[in-house]
Amino acid sequence: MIRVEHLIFDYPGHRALDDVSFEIKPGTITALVGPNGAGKSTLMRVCSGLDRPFAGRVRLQDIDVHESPREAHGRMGYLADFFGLYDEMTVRQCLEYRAAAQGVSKQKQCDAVELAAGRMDLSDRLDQRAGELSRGLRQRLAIAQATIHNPVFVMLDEPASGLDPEARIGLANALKTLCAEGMTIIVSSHILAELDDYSTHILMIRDGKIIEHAPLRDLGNAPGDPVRIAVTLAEPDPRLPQVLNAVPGIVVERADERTAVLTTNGGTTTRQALLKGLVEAGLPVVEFTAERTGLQDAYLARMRAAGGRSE
Amino acid sequence: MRINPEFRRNVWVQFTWTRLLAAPLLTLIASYGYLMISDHDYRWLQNAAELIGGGVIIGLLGTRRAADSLAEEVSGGTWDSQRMSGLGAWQMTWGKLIGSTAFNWYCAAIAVLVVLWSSNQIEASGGIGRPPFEVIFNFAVGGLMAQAAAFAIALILMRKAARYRRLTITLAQSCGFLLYFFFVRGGFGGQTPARFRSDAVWLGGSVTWYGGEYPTDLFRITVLGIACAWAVLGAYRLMRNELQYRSQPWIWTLFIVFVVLFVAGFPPSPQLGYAFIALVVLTYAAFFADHRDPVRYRWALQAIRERNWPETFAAVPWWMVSYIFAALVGTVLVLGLPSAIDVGYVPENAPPALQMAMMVPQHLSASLVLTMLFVLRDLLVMLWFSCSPWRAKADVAGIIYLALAYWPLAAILWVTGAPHLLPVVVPIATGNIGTDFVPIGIELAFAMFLFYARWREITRLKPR
Repeated sequence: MIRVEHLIFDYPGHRALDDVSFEIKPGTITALVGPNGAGKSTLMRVCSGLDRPFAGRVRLQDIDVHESPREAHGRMGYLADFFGLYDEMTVRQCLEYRAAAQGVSKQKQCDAVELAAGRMDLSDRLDQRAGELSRGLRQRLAIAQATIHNPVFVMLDEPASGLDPEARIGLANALKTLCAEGMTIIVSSHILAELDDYSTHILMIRDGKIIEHAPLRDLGNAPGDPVRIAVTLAEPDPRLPQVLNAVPGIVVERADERTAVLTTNGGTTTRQALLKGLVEAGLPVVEFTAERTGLQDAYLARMRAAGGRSE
Repeated sequence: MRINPEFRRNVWVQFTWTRLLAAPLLTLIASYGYLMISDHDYRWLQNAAELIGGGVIIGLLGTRRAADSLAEEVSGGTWDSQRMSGLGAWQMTWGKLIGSTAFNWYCAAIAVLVVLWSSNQIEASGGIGRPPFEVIFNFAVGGLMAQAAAFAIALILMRKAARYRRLTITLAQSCGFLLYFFFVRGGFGGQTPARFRSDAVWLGGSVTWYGGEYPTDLFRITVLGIACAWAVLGAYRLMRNELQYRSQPWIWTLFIVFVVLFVAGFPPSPQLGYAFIALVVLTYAAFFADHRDPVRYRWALQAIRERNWPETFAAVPWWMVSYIFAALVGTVLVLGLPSAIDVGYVPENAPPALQMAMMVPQHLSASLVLTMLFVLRDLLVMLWFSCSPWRAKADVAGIIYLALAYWPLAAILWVTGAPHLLPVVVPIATGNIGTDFVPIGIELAFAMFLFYARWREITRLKPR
């Protein structure tokens, strides 16, 4: 879908993107995460063709974004972190303008407006002025504008910033809808728990370098990755903490007479030894579950490994 | 027919039924009132309508609207989404230029009707009214030229000082308005007062250009048309840059050649002297207009190393092109002119500035070479500012530097009785090669050292 090759971008005196390369697969939602100043917004601006890199290139399908920016923009949508709307225009006018500006033919403009408004749940507000919308609705209108031409690739920079919980849920559903309609999406955000809900991949950046790019489901499943295990007994047994502490290679996070949560870097052998130890000690184990590593855990672990702060 | 979306958006915002009806209604009331006050003197109504419609609505307010059309997008956070649209540079340029000023044009069209109607009334009573072609040409072409110039200047300033919206649009507006005033209501003969009269006095006079005599107004109209084309072309090229198209500076080069050929046509000789002065002015103007981004200069150097000539030319700053032309014209002048021209007697009580200026022809060749070296020194010093940690204020620092580097020091040297030291601070040769060229040589070496040291520092990249 989009291929970034050896991208270098400099600001006077410092390098913001340092030999960045990755490829985004079609039909995915990629969470772009990293500390403040890591280069997320710069990466998005360069990928969208708004800024020209010092070296490297960005290819969207078969188009070089910086050689043919207009052509690329016909296939991509981008929403900046600080965006504006034409407050004096109605929602319909805003969408009609964007459709026309993106080259949607006059015959198809009405349909495009209806479709974009429908998928962002704005159909009943088409005649309302943009300046009268709430923050959440403005965000949806901005996404509707960015996607009215049905781009194959969409980049959203901090779209959930400043939204209330209800609006965030609406935004998550809207992104899932866009993905289901065939759009490939990159979303940058600091709210990792929400990205976890709808992202399929993670792209971590720190100091202008990519430190992780992987499917979300693979996170924490690599050999050596820490695994968190929850243990529950059928009935309380005071020996549970002692038994757990006696097993080598695990860290007990918390344990009482009935439940325990522990972390291990060991693989299946360690887990097998742990379960065996519990059963042999005569403890009535009813649950022994390896928890899926969330985006937040994976992020923190990678940032720690990279020696960085994790804001 | 497909309407330019940017133009249509502007029309949506600007044209309400109230405004559409109010403009002609107010014009009607004002015109009637004016006729009543002036005892049905249609000449006054004609001139007032031309002044208000052209000078105020098109020249003053229209230029502000044109400049603000970009500034409001940047401050409103909509500019990036516009840059992401499928609109090309030309569509974006004319959609904004004509669209943002659409209501001004609507009001100006009403004013034109009043001017033409008044002229008709004047001619019906045996007087001479304003020629319809010239009225419409002045409004349409003069207005478009001024607004395109304001728009282009706003495009330049937007990248440099987007935070100072009022300052940038006022500066762009002022430049556009001054151009309008010069071309439509003033220039080529200084007949501004006559323009307010109803007779045909302003039609008189002639301009000498390349030895030919041309009627002033024909000359003005022709130059206005060409200036309008350059202003629109300039706005288009700047928009191309803004939309990340790769643009080589051919149009700027053509503009420089045009300016050289145009100003060289005016008497007296040496005609290339005007061209040289114009090129020096263009070098400084292009330098201040340039973003002077060290990163972009690194691109150029990298492109040269890779022998990527399209990229190299695209990254060549416009001021460098202007300076190269200035150096070429200066060299032609040095080789082709006598090294000194006798200016005759200069009275001792003449102002110091005039006395200093009169020294230039006496050592013409040396002064021309000194001028080129002084310009190079200034460029290096201001590039040093641009590579500094406070590069955001490099333009202000540059203006202060230029102001301090020339007049105060030259004036001090003059009044303290040391005119032989003038070549240290101003490009005025005294005839002594040692005192003429050694100081500027040292200054140039020092400026190069400063710039190179700062350049090394800024290109030693650190991760954030």
